[in-house]
Amino acid sequence: MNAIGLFGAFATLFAAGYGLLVLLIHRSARLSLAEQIAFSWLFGTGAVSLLLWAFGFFADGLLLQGLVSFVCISLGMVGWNLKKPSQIRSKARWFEVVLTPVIAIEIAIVFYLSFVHTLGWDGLLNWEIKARYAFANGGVLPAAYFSDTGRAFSHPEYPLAIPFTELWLYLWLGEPNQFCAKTIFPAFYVAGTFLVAAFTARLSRRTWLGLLMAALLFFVPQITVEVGCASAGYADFPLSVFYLAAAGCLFCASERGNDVFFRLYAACLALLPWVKRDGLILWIVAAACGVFVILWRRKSPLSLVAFLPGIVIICAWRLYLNAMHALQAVDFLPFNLKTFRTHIDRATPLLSALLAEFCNLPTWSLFWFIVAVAFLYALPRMRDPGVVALLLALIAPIVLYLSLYLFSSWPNYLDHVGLSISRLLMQVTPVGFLLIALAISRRPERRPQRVQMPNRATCAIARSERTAVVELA
Amino acid sequence: MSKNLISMFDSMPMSKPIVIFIRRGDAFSSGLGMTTAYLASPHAVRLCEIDGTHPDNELYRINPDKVAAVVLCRLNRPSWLPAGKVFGPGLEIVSIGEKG
Repeated sequence: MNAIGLFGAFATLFAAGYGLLVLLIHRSARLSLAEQIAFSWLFGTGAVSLLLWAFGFFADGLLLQGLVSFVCISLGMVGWNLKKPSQIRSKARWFEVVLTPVIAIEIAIVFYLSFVHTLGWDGLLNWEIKARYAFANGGVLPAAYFSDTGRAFSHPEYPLAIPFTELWLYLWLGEPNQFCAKTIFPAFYVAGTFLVAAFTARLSRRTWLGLLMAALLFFVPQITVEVGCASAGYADFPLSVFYLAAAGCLFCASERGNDVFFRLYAACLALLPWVKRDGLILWIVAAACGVFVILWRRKSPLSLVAFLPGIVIICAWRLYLNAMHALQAVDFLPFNLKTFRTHIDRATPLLSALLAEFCNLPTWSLFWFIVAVAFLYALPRMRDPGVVALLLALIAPIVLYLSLYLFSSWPNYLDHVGLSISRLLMQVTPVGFLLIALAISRRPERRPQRVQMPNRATCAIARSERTAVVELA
Repeated sequence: MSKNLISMFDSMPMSKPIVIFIRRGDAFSSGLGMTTAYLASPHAVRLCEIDGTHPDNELYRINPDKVAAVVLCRLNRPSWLPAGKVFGPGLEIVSIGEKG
């Protein structure tokens, strides 16, 4: 019974995501199967959680589940009718043949780790708690929960993408089953792996490099085994995958005339603040990068509409919290100049803590050292707007996150740093992999329209050709 | 254990809150308290953080008619309070008024 419920939940999630993906690309681009799976998952979780929340204003129980299922299946059918039938396959090199099963084994290990470990602290008491309470209340979070001081520890003000994806599984299973709920987190790892492979292959035009980067993702301990890792039920890794999708699509959209990826970028951007509160910062950074690309490439002013869905989600959630009289987090002091001036003396210890974190080998292995080298390699390519956007997307969130600790209200702000900085850095880690790939595939200039190998992946040819990127499945 | 906790909370009157005492500066105690609050749903809960290990003064101030249960997380139960049900090391739930 659980298997059928789980299948129904995942099928509807993918159907909704696939439908949205096809509507966004609308016959004007061909994506690899790996990209289709990854984007379908991201858009599916975003859409279903938003629909559950929106329809929850006037429906609950079976009606709520039925309405959301109807929309999911309708989207899936629309997507199926509009899909592009053919695909071009490239002949795999021996290195690619070796790497593909390696990635498959890594994914299997992440699934295994997820099943043998219980949900982590935040996974249970920040996220799953909302899914469970909503399930017990017919699929709608009880209004009293938002102002319940006894449960303020569970951050009622956090957005609902993750808990409502878990809720969707619960509704299909007919019970709040934490073991099954854990399956969504390795699924995000799969999406992250596929996107790292796909974007790397696109920006380097080398499929083997994409597969190599995807395989190396597993060897960052923070992602696989540390507190808050991909399998622990925290929102940080899913957020990092959404951010990777937004940054990668923007890099591809920085090619002239590549509007398909700009639309995908807009969709991923909109979902960032819906995954986690920190997503607002990533949204600001990714939106700033988007504005930069729009101005540099002199895109139509209409491109600014891309920011509208995200703004709507941010405002709607804020209004909802106000209407519910939701308790506000007390982790930070008021964000004003006075607080900034009185706490500026924290800057040096904070920088030291950040450097110490970069050098924390048990948590990060050699990742940040390699990123530092890749950064130096990327500097001479600053004339490329995509490279500038990618660098900004990596560095700006780190700077902003570190600045946030200036406003920490914890008695010992360094405890606050120690508890959360590794997870915050993880949110930009997949983007760091793109930078590394960029350095490895160093080319003096990108030539968008020069397509010598039609079965090799680039962002430029994505407008008109199905790429052969990592057909992992 | 969580099933036993949930069934115990289910046996308590829904109209009354559950008061959970946790010890300031003791992460384990806080964790137990928050997990108990999570499992106590849909009961209203009040988390009370106290200094030291003896919540005697705070317990004196509680009106037993208005509370469904008292939960002690790694805290010592005063001798005048009836013994509750102990779950593992450090978690004791003293039911004040049974349902029905």
